[in-house]
Amino acid sequence: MSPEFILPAVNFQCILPQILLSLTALLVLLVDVFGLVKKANALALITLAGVVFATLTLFSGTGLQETAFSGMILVDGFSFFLNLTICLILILTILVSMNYQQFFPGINSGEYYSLLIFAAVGMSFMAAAGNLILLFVALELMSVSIYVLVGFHKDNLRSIEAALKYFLMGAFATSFLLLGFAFLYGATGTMDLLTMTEFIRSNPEVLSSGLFLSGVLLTLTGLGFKISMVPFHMWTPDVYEGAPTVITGFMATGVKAAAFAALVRIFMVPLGSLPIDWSMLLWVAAVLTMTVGNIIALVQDSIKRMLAYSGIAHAGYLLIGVVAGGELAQAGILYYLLVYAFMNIGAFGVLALLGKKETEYNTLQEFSGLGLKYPVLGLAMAVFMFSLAGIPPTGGFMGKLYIFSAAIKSGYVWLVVLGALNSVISIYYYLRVIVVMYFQESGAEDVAFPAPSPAITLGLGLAAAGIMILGVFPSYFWVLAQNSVFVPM
Amino acid sequence: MFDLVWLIPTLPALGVLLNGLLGRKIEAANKSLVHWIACSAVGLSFFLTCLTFLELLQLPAELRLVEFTWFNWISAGEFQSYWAYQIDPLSMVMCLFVTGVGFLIHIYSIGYMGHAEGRYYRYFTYLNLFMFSMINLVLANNFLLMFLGWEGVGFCSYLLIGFWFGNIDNARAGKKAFITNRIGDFAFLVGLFLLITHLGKHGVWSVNFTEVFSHASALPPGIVTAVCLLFFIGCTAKSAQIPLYIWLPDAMAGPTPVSALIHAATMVTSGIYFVTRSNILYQMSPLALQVIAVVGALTALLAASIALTQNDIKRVLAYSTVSQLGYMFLGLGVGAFSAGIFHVVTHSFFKALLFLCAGSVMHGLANEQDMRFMGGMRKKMPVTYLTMLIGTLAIVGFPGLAGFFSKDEILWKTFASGHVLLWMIGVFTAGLTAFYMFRLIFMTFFNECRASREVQAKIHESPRTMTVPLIVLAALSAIGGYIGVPHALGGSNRIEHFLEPVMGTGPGKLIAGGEHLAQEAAHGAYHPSLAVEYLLMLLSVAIVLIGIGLAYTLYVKERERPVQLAERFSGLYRLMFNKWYVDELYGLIAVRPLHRASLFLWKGIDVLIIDGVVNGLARIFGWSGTWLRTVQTGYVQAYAVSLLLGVAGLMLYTLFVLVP
Amino acid sequence: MLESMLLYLAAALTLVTSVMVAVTRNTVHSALWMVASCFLLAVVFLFLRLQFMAALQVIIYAGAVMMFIIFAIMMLNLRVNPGRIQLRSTKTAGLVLVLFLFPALLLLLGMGRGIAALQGQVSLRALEQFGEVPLLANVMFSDYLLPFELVSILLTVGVIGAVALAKKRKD
Repeated sequence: MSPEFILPAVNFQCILPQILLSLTALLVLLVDVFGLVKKANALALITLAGVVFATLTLFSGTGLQETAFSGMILVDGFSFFLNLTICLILILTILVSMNYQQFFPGINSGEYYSLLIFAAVGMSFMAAAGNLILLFVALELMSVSIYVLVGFHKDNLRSIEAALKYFLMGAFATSFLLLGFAFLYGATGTMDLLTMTEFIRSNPEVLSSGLFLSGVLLTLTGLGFKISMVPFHMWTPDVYEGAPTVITGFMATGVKAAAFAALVRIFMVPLGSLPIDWSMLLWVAAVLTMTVGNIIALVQDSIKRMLAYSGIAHAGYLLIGVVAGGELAQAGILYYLLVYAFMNIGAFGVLALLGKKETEYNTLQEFSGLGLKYPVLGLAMAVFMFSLAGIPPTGGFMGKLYIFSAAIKSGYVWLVVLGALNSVISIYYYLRVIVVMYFQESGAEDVAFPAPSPAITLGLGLAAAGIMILGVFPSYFWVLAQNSVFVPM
Repeated sequence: MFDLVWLIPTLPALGVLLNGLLGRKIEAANKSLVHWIACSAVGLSFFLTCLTFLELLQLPAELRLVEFTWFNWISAGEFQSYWAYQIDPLSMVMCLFVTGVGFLIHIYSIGYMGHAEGRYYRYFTYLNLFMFSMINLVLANNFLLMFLGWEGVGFCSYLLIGFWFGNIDNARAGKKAFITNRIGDFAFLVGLFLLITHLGKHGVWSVNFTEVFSHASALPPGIVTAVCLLFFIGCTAKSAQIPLYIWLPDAMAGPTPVSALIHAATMVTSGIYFVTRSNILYQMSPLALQVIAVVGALTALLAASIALTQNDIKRVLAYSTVSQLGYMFLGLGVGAFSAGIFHVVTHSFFKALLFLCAGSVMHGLANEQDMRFMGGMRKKMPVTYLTMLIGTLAIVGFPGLAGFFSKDEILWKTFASGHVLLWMIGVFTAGLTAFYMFRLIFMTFFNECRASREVQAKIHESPRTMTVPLIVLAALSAIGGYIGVPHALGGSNRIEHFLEPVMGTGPGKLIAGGEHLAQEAAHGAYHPSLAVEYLLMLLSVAIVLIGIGLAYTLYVKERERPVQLAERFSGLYRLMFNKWYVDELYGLIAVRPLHRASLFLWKGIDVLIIDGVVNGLARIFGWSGTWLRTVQTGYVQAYAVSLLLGVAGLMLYTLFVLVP
Repeated sequence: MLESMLLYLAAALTLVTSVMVAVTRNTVHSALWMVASCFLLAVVFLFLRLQFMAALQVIIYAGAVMMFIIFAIMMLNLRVNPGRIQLRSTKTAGLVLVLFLFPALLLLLGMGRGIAALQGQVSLRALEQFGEVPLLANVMFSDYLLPFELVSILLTVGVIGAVALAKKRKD
């Protein structure tokens, strides 16, 4: 005697992009193992084709508002926007990797590209997850792939060390997350986000129960680790610095996008009715995150490490949006994540341009004078830095503007003042890169960019163009972001 | 066709992208490809404009307002601004001659800039960028997009004035133009903000022309006057009027086709375009109109008086441009908006022609600009001579040529509206114009050649790419006036009727709020008889002829007389020759005190106090960064402890703040 | 009553053995402590009426996985943890924090009024009626189909990652 088994309704249509991505990953792996194609860039090109195709299929699902797989997947504008962002991140990373692999031939392997894609699959499921279980599995998929990618320079101790550190700390933080999910389940009796939201709405007294609060607290710890929120940020600089530069760009943007998606889905929306004290907690976290990130970034000599700390600071700006709450702030976060993808991968892409066999060049010293020697490249770097610093007319400015104005609308004037002060601090170290690139004598004689490949030209061009479009013609994407906010059905 | 209007500005933008990004490679591979790209982009724009224009003509007069919204540009709260174009008689007239004259000047530049090795692509990139901005300026359907074009043309003008930036004077001239224009732009922006906020009080959060104008009647008169005057200050900078005209003569440092395109035919007329576009606002403020009329007339006179004594061929033309722009503002100021636009169009033909001819002369004379070293070019450059003569006759208002109709229209409207004093200034200035323009012709083309022997040996007529545009423009200067032959001469003043729907007073009244203005105009005007009109026309023709005769006497027949005259009236001569010392005056009352104040602000306030605070803060941040960095030990165990610390903090907060 | 006391005892022992895994210097001993911990966790499952889970816990973790770990230790000859890094301060801080966090969490969990949560998908009665395996299978292949499939990708990634890190360079 057994309970009746009901065949689940399976709607493959809504996870088609993820399926295509996974298939591409497996294909690349097989092509590499069997040595089917001999050309140097073949693996990357196959990957690129698959990803672009998957990105195109994304658009077939626009405008839908439904759930699939028994509520596991939320098919809505929020998923669409973030999936688009994640796919763009993936495309840019592949383009940048195609250049990077001439210094590190080890990158040019099926494992590398398939792990890259699998990490993105994890991210996109995180963005679309409507259930804590799926969210957790997706997060693990993303994390495990990235642990390996961070350690992909097997002969480089720093890379291995970074991978090990990230793995250990990641496992540690994940245990908090899992415990948090368990408590949330215990307090509400459901793993489904929409049901949970409904439950909280009809039983607001749950908000003051110890079980629920512990769940929220531990979940915040786990996700805070992923977005490198202070004080869970300590791993960030070491890992970002040790990882292959292209992977640093990928994880700085992609992991952040996915983790903020989870934050919005778990925190901003279901807990939107929380008493004001909670947002004070995030208020403090946001200020600390911005300030610590910016201040330590000031004294870095390595551009890569500086960008790592700046990544922490940007998580702080995004947290302002979480504190502000509301649909406007959500749209601001979405917009900022998109801009951040362009500007950060762009900046890391320029970093990844300089190198020689098995060596990366990352210090300010090594970049001095290169802006004059390579004006177009210097210009591109200037665009990325200006955007990261939030100077108009770049996308970074518009992104900050949207988040800050949402926060002001919600009454967090002081938070915005502190955010603006932090932006001012950050201008110093971003502009220093430009100053060094343009106004200093070339430091090391043997440093020279190799001839830029079409892939990197396309990648950096795409990133710079994206930034300028988002900065000068913000309207289209802003409206798209506003239409993409997560509203529980 | 209306759906394709976005292509008109986009084509030059494509040219910018192609030449700007790949120009160096294109030029290295095949130089002619650079100008092919640039010229065909503008040529196609012109073609599309013509098609759009023809389609607009198909519509009945009261329906001639088509708005094309390309995309939503900026949205912030209730405020929405679109990237949208407006196709109506006014924007079409402007766009037609902007693209048309622009196209001819692009072609001319092929020959003129042929020697600019390595910078060739840059020149055409800037030129295309200018076209893009200018087209946006005239086609925009809202203040914001128009302002984008307004700034864009200013920026291109700066780039092109300083094109030969190797010479510090050129760079300085570019800077002067830019700074002067910034002063104007500042006033313009303040006006715009004033307008937006006051309309916002009435719930109109828009910068759209039609919407703003239809709600303009709700504004208090004081605000309207303030807005109009602030806008006009912006126009005095862009269109070189008193007091901000000083940059235009210096702007002649740029390549001559640039002077023709930007500083004579198109950009400098955008002030006139803007006032005409906003005529509904201006008609609500008689004071503002009065100011415009007076400033216009005085500028016309002042610039003409300076032009009498200048020896640099391009400077004479520059002052003549300032003077002609003064005429146009005079027309606007007395309410004859369509006459102003009419003069804009004809002026663009003959002034572009004159500049291009001057360029052609300079091209033949090894870039000599001083007329004292020219002369006798009539024989050696026949095409240039003939076309320039036509242009000159057109500008002085020789009966039958373009300038005659448009200038007389303005003078007649001035007289008819009762501004007799201003009319007298205008007519006197017409005489001055005739004198200095023919002085230019006689000094350049008549008598013996005064250039050095080496230069003389190389004098040659310019290549086909340069002469063909000259001929086309000469033809336009000759017949361009027939679009606006007044009733008195048996014409039907077609351009005025065509433009009527745009004017607040017109019978078309596309724009609400114009009705009462129309009635007022009908009551208030004073109508002199037809005989008076003929008489005045004859009078101005006579004065022009006197001016020409005087120039002939002084510069062909009795050539020692000018020197004697200059000695006899040496005070006046020196005043005029030194441009009434306006630059020096500005230096004394504005630039130097500002400089001193800014020195104080820099040394006293900025370096000591602000820099001190900033550097101090920076040092504090630097220290704290160094300190915080030591926390980053690299030990995973330490990181785990910090994570636990965070959890403990969260938990303490929850325990002691949240739960109780 | 007795049952729940035994449950708590098993849970507490699991915790103790887990701590022993972490603090034992000898790697083989450490692995053996882990086996013990896995067994005790299986006991916890049994008290919660999850016989199937308990069996899986014993067979897979205490059996297969631990065997691999011990193999690895033997092959690499990792007898004693050579770590000599003295991090007394972090160790103390960590200890203090854990000693603070544990009771604080318990305190927090006990706070506020308990409220009736939603009913879970599987009731205790259903568990007794149908048995654990059919219920588990039913849920896993219907509602939780997608996470289940995603786990298979996760495992694939694990394998790919292990190979990528372990394999020698092509050249």
